[in-house]
Amino acid sequence: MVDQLYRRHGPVIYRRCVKLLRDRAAAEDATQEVFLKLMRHIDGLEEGEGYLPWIYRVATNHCLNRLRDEAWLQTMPPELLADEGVHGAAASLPERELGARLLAAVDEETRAVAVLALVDGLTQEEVASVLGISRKTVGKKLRLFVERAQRFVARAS
Amino acid sequence: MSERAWHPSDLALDQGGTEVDAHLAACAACAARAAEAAASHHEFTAQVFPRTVEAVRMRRPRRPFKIGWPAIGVAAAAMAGFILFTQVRRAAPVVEPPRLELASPGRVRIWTGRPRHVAVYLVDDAGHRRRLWPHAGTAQLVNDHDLVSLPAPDPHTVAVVAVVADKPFNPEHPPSDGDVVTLALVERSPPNR
Repeated sequence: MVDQLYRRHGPVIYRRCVKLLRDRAAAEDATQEVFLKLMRHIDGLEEGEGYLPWIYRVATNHCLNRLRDEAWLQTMPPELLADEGVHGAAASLPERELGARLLAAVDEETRAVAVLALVDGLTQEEVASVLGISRKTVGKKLRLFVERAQRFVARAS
Repeated sequence: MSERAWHPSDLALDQGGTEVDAHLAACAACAARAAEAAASHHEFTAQVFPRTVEAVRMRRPRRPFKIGWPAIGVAAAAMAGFILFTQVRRAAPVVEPPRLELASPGRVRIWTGRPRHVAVYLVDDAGHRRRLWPHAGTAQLVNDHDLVSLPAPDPHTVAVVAVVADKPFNPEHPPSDGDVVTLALVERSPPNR
């Protein structure tokens, strides 16, 4: 039973953790932690489609917390923050550093909203579904985050 | 395709669907993302899973039952103490029907009234439960009067508990609406008379 669930959900969790942590060994550890959390909450989740948003939310929070705890966001070499998006060139190194500092400066939920919406390209509806908050809240947090980012950038420049 | 064209998010890619499939057929960049996801899936299955599954098995949560195992354990321990005190070797079932009965040393008979799904557990004097039967898989469909063998006597075992339900269930997660039947046990010999 555990093996089947791990084989079924592990790949999504692992991919998410690799994407956020940029470190396969760390992602492997994080995958186990997130999967064990899934096991503890699985009774309350809707079978099938209900698992995915939950996995995204918990894996995202877990990885971002880990990055915060290890002060990675402040100290991570900028090249590791590069995200060669498929639809455009990666941001410049100073911009990525700035983005990392900004992410480290906001609360957990706002950070998750920002990452899911701005890094992963989820729609506001998808972010709301993943985080279990209203679309209105997502929009508000995103707007505040962007405003804060603009101030941050203005100060930095 | 304009810069503002819709591209599925990672979540949408994972969820799939006809709209996503149609997009992947027309968008090389997103098809590459899907291929990356497939490669990551393969990496997990081929390398990460075999390396980590044992650790996950060992650390999987072992949750107490929702039906109140500590209370059952305490009740069973109290019953066992009472039985010891009165030097009664064989205990009566607590709930019926369904019910459990000590058929012979090391064997328990299950009275279900009709074919029902059953999982049997042992409860120790600290209130901890341990799965007894079936050893693996889902609860077994049993007929009325079926027998279940008990393991070697354990001085700490104070009760046998069965969860009986009409539908199949995972013994690790027994249904909250199942019937719970407790049979107090005394594995110690009574004092000589």
